[in-house]
Amino acid sequence: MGLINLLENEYDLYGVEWKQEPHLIMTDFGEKRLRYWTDEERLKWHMKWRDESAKGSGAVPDRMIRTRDGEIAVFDGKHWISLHDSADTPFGCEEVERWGQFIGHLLLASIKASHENHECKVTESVFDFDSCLAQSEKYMEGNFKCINTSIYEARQRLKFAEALKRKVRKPVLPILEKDISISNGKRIFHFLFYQGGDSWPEKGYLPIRKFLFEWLSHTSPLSLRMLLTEVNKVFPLNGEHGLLLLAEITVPWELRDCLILLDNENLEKMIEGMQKYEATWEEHRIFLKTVTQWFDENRRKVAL
Amino acid sequence: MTTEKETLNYGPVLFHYDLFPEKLERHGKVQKVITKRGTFALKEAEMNEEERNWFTHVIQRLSEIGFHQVVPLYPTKFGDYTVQIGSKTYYLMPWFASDDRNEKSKDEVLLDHLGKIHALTIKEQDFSNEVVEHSYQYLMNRWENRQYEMERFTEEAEQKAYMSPFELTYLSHFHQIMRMTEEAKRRLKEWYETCQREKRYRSVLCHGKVSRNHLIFNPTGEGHLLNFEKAVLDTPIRDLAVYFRRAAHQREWSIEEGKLLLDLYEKHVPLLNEERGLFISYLSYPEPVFNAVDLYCNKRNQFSQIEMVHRLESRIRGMKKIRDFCDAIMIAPPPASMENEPKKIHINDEEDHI
Repeated sequence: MGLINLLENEYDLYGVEWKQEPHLIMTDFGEKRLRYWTDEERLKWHMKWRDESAKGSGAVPDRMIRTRDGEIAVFDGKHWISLHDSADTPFGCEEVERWGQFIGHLLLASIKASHENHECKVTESVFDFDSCLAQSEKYMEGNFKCINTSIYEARQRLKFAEALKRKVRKPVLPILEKDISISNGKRIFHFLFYQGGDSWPEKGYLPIRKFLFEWLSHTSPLSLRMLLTEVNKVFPLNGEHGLLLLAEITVPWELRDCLILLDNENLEKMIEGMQKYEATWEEHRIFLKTVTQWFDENRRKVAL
Repeated sequence: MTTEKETLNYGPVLFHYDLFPEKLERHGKVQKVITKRGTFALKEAEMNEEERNWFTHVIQRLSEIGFHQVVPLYPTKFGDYTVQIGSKTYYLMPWFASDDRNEKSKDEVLLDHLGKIHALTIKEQDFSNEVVEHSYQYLMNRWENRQYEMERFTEEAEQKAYMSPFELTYLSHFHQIMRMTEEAKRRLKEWYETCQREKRYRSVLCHGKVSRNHLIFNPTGEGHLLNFEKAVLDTPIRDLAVYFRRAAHQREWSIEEGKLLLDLYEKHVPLLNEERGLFISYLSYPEPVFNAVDLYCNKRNQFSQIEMVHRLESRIRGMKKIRDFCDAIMIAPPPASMENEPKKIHINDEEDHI
């Protein structure tokens, strides 16, 4: 029995056709997306965050459509195959409130899940300052101001981030999807439909850091502050979770990316790389400044 | 006619069912959703997470224990039985068109279904003095507070040089109303004392909002109950009192009809003496009359005096019918139990019940 037949039978669908093999199909219920899973635990983890973060949030993640027997996927002998809704229209960044609610609920659900036992493999990124230093060695002789400054700042930030983390005695970190991106937000009617991925989950606030930086790149510091305010309404950031998020944002993750941009093959490429380095470093400096300002303002409001 | 705005408003809900409405019609808190896939009823409710879970549990469990005369809930494509959007909860059911041919037998079917649910879920509870004491004190305090409010209203009215027609009508029946109140309190006290003595009380799954409007007939003429949002484990008297109190205030309702319906119910669940006493106590308490006074005090500008007086008189007439009904059921012998009485399963039994 072919995959199409299997799907028709298991999901009570009719007239299923490939729209874009092997990921998109057209059904009598509209366009649907297929995801293939080789690991059952990963499938279950992805089902859970989608189901949990949908609760109470105005947004709808692309949850697993259930088979007629209520299963989250079908097995074709090689993979588990799950069926999801699919949408094309980007949601954009204008509706800060809806994004904030979604991120807030996502964090709530992921913190709740991190208390539970899970058998799924979880990765955790660790910032390696020493390897960055080693990589920057070859440019030190050139005495480039931006590199020297950024290395100095990175060291200071790392110390600050460590100090923030130390303030939290028993840190509980969220377990999240690796890539949370604005481009995954689509529009169905007037709500935010979020198309998740299928990667191994990541422990910590790095995926949120990346999302917030992407938000700033697409919008403005004011919009980022508004987004944090909206997240804060659902997922309070004035306690330990806020400290851990701020710590993650303070860690100079961008140093690694900046150093990769450098290329000393010839002078022209070197200058070009250096300009990109400076620009990227500056963007992140604004990012950190904006987030820190928001935390300071928020703290002041609480104190008042 | 469905507007684009309405489709947009309900679109996020119907998305969970993969339904695209061609037409939406509002019927109170229900939207009739007409689609290419059929016609559905979308109910809007306000429930918290615990209430939602209990509600879906009740519907599923009723089916599992063999009561199928419940309007089924359709699951969403994600396997949920309700959809939560903001503060609102929605659930989808098949649409059954109202059928006037069955209107006459509606009360009989309603009481019969209620009896079946109660019989399937009845459970003699382990006696807890604390629970009985709390229930008794709570209700007694509430009734005494209401009585005090009504006495105060009476005193204020008596001090006026010129009473309104409503006040005059109320005062002319005041002693009779207070007698009913005292009778209800006496019966409640009796129930409490019997419970203490017998050390028993029974609970069932109560519908919680029994009404003719919550029974509809499917295309084959079979009656189905709906709206279990307020379902609760409590004494069977809770549902009976809600039904009979409302029914007795209908103009065409008669004591004979009431007795017939109670007999129909008791074929499934014969009432114990103390339950009958509690039933009479609930019915005797003149809450409908007090509510008419509340309405007069709080919303007198919205209705004319004559409307208010008519309402009050109708409530008093209803209470007189209830008093006669209570007298009649007090002396009636208990009906014989049914031959094929359903197996009793309880809503809280983990093995085979809700």
